[in-house]
Amino acid sequence: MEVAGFRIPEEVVGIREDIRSMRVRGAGRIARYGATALALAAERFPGGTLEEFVKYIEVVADFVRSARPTAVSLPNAVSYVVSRLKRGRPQTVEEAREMVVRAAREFVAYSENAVKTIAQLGARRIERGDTLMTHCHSTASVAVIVEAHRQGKVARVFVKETRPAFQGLITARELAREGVEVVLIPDSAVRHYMKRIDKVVVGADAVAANGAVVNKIGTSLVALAAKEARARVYVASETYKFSPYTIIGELVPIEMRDPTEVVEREWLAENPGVEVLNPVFDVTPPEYIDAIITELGVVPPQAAALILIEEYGVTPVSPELHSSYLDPG
Amino acid sequence: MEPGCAEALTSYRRVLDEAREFKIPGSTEAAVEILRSLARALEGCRGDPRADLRELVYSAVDSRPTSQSIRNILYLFLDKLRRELRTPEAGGVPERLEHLVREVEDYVVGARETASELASRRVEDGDVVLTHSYSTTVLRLLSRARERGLRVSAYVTESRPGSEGKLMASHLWRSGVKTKLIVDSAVRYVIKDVDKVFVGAEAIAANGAVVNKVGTSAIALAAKEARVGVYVVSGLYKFGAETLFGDLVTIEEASGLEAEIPPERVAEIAPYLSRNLRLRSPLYDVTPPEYIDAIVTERGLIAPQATVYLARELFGWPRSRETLERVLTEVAPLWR
Repeated sequence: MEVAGFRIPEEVVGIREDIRSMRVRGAGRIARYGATALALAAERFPGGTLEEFVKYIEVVADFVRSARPTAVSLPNAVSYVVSRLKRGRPQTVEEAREMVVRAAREFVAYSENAVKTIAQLGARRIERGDTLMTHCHSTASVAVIVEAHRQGKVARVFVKETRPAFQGLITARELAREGVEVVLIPDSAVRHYMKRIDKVVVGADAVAANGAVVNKIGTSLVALAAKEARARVYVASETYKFSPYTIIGELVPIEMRDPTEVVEREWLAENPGVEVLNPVFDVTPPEYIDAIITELGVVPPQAAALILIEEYGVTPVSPELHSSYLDPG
Repeated sequence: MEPGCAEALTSYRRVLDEAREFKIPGSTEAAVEILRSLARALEGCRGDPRADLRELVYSAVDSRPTSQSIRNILYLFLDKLRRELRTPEAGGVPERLEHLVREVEDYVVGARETASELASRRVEDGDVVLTHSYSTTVLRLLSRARERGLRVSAYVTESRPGSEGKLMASHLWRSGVKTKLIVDSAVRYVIKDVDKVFVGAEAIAANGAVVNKVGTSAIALAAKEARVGVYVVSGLYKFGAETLFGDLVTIEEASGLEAEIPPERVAEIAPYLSRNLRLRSPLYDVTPPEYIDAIVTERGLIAPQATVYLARELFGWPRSRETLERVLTEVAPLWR
């Protein structure tokens, strides 16, 4: 396949297709696949000048990113690699190739270890005898709770069932399997039980540049009830879930899903006048979040922009866009 | 012909079971059904030792301990009975109790109609309201607003456990209200679009706190955050008089929660259910008065903290402790 005058290697086309068709799922796996695609592309570079190499990598980067336009981890993985190439100021094609391959490997190892690091850092925030609450299912937040439990700190975890798809049951099972005392509650009981909660630990689907957390519907109500009851709220999230688009003002789209997730088909047929509104995510404002536990450290949500700029090379506003405002003629 | 005592008692127990299992939607409906059935049992069992008035009344209260309607409606009935028994010209125990039941019913139905009428005046054309659980009073007030030609649309929460929000949504759209059903978790997501929250009540405490279906307090909190008005629509017969003496309103625990989750999903957690994993939920929660803009009663739209002032006309002031118990103490011996 040829894109912008460059031949894209077969393996890279295959990886893009796997991501696009959702054969590869999960924020972490998509990200690792994306980084690997760039390493493969670098190794298969047919030859040319350094300038051509950089251009080629940028073309491949755009090609891979376009597999899932709304995913957050994929463009971050790609940017992670590309920004290290640009920052590295290579002198030869060989050096440049080396940089891309190294950055991609670094990212893969990094993301594989991210959850383990988050578990360690997060568990430090949990104190002996704490009663916790969690919502939905998140690998990172389960890892934090399990690690804290192994350290003998967790008294009990209230797990919200998380309608409509009941992902809370996955969390409940994973925690119970590790021996954690679990109380499964309906979502409506969040404020009733919040008085007993010391800390809330949830995951994230995306973190916006201002530190707002996009997560499963209901998260913002948990955070609000926690704020009211002065329970702490921690979001466990790998940094590649920080959304690069939001820094240029894009809103994170909130997907509406099928009504049959909420009510049975027969009920819908009997009640044609009722619209079932089924938003998947909601947005928790940064002021309700005490900290985001990332593999890079426990950071205030407001530091999200710092991570996007420093780790993923996201420029707040591109120089071209900036100058177009300065010089509208 | 009077029904036999045994038959009347069996039927009374059945009504209590239905109330306990929430087969009668709405706490007022449940209370009125219980009262009618109690009166039939008393008529059919005069002088019969199988029918102990005190036991009959308390088993009704215990069928739904959070419900103040049941406690208060039975109290109002017994209070009327006591007055009748005390009247010198009464000539003893009345043969029939229908007229007393009707007086209480008339008051209760009238109170609810008036409260829903007053609350409907708060609805403005084009309003988007949010409601929770199933409430006949809220249903009435929105229907009234519709009858007046106002355009109203409503968000209804599913209201787990029990999911009676689905029934509410079904009834609402049939009465001409544009209705959207959401999961309980979506409340904060939609609240910015909402103009007013209307809910019913299971009990109102002396300090103005409202006990209602679990989830109500989180809705009120989200509404407060978004500066959306919260209105509780309730007859004064839901006032929890015992709370004046420091008693807490009993909050019932839900049972049979496994049945509310698809069986294939319960299977995922089944191995841990008898061990370190439990399913729990209260049926009700407490919304503090500061999250409530007004309680709309048959005597007017008032601050939640002022409910005690209006309720004194119904239950007397200064009050003596344990009114239900006291009236039973007086009536039970006379009834024999």
